Amino acid sequence: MATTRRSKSPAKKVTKTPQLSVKTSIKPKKELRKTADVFLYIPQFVGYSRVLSTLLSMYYMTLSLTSGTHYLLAINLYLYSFIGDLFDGMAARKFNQSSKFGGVLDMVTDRCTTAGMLVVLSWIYVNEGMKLMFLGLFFLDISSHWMQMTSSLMIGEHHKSKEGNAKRFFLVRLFYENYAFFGYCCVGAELTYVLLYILAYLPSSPTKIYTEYALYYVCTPACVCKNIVNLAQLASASWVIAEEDVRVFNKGQ
Amino acid sequence: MRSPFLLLLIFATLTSTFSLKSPTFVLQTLSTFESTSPDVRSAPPPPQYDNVALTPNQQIVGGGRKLPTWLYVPNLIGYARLLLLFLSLRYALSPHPRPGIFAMLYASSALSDALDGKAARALNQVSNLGGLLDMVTDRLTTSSMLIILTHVYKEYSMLWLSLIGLDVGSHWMFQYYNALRGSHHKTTSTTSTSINPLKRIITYYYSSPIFFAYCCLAPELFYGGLYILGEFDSLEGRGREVLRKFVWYIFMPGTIVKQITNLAQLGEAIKGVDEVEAVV
Repeated sequence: MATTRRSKSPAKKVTKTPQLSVKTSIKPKKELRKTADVFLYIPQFVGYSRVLSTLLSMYYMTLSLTSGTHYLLAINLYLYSFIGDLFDGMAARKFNQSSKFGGVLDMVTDRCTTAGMLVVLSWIYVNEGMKLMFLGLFFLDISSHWMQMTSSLMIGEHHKSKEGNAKRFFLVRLFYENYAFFGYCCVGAELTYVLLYILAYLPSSPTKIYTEYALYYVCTPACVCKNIVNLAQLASASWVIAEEDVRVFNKGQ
Repeated sequence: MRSPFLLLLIFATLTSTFSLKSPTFVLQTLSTFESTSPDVRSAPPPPQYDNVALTPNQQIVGGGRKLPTWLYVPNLIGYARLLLLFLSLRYALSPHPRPGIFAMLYASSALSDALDGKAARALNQVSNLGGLLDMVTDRLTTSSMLIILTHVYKEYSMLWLSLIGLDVGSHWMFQYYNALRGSHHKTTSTTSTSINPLKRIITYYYSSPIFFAYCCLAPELFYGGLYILGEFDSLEGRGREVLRKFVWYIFMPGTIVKQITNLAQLGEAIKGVDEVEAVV
């Protein structure tokens, strides 16, 4: 209804664009992702290539047991797997594509890679003590990481987070908080296995002797360190799970 | 080594069939985190004894106050299982392997798998730690057997290593996604229809107790049988023929079905991504 304006208030302006006010604000256009996108994230491709690289590496290690020729290719593929582990985390943060799927893919690939390497080492070293040691390390690796991940999931935290590891043994906290210590342990342990593999195939030479020294004095201490941390992880994760058991039990009382 | 040892191995693994958890129980816990141990609150009531002053539960489970979880009897059995397994490896992998002793220790370890579940329910000492210990020990047991097969049948190493990867990977992912789903309580009906084909395989697998037992035991007996065929050179002609037929016609099909189920559970876990990725 048209009305003549008698009041002194100004006419309401009709504008075509929405007006900014205190209550509302222009929201940026949302970029919604679909589930299928998670499998196509860039860090996931790094993960898939790691899986492939591990499989090929195991194949060539098997081959070089009989023929002794492809060991360098095998170890290069294995090293790619290891280096890819660093890159997928970095890529996830850089492209804002962190995902739980990526995390668990990373974890499972790590375990399979280390397990495969330890099995191959148990083939190469005929000494019974060495075989048992590698298999013992395999047991420790899988069980400690499985317990660590599960105990963190039970309390609803990420297994590497500060909150998740807040009440645990100091070695575990140090391992996940101090990047230098973490890097030293992880890189040193992997290098130990890689060097143990290569040394079995290298012909005697000065390079070999230097490599052996590097192995004994630099890498083996790091490997020992990493496995002590694994033991600590296993123990403290078991403790946290037991605490959760008691909490649930007492709640039901 | 003669056939009695073989019979002992088969007997040990068969007796554990009859003590397996019932499939309906397993179905219930399919979508919960504790795959082998239910929530303590829903544990069955302790058995009543007429002429004993204290029930077993009052002594043992007087709360975590009296006995810490890691000292529960079923968990002690779990530690013993791991120890037995590790010891058995020594006899299988030494330069002079003792397959008979390995078979006995390994069978004891596998047999105890049935014991710890029963003990947990009988003594009302069910715990998350126990369930997890059971799962991890199972994975390590299968992996150890496969590693030993890589030593006996070196030319098929890639197959054994792939089976280790599939076993560990599928159970890891399955447990991870179940744990995440359980803690968020966000199971939607839309997602359950999307994973129906996979769930159908799994439900069928669990629906018949005999089939379930067959599929669980077949891989162990397949790997064990292959080991015996490879290591027991003194096994007689007819015994060897019978074992060979068992291994290839009876145990191998079951192993294949089990691996298909592993893949189905892995697939179901991966499909669970959409339920949990959205939650920050």
